[in-house]
Amino acid sequence: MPSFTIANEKCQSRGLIVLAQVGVTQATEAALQREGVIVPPPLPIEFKIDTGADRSVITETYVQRLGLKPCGTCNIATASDPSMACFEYAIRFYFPNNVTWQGAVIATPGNQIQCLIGRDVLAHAVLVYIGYHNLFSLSF
Amino acid sequence: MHHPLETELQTFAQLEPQLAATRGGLYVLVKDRDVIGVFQKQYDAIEEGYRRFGNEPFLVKKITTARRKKFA
Repeated sequence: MPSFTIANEKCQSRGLIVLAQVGVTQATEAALQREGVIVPPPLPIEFKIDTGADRSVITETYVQRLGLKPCGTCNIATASDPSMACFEYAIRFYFPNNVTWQGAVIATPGNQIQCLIGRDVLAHAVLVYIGYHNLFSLSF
Repeated sequence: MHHPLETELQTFAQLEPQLAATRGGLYVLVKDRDVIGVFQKQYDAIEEGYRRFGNEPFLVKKITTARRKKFA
């Protein structure tokens, strides 16, 4: 089972943070190659694992920089809007240790958190958090 | 502002009740006014969307399971 482990003394104060990359899915890559378009390279991004979020969310600027088009819509509840309409995009996460995940995530205009990993991604994984050692691991 | 999936959402809204009767819980791929297919997994529908349409907007939606009528 592919996995990675992060040890960070700020796990408690900052949360479960992973510095990794985000890019286009294999399906997008194949489509772009067929069209003779250069496949954009993965972009560095900060992921935050949030077991309280049902869906994963990425800041809109990343999907714009990857040149992606929407593949779905959904409504999410935020502090200021109980039903904010958003687009979904197909995306691939490149975690450490060659661990990858691809699927549809929601894009929002906010930029405080670059990418929140919610339970839709965690549903495919095993998350182990050992608080007193300030480390966590994610296996897919 | 132009909504890139406006036509697809209208198509889905029109067809969801009949899809829900038999295909509830599955994922439908819609492009313009056409239902392209119904899939078990969301990513399978996305993959098919990219295969057929390239990097163009298309809609993948989960079909809500039809609710049974309550009798008094």
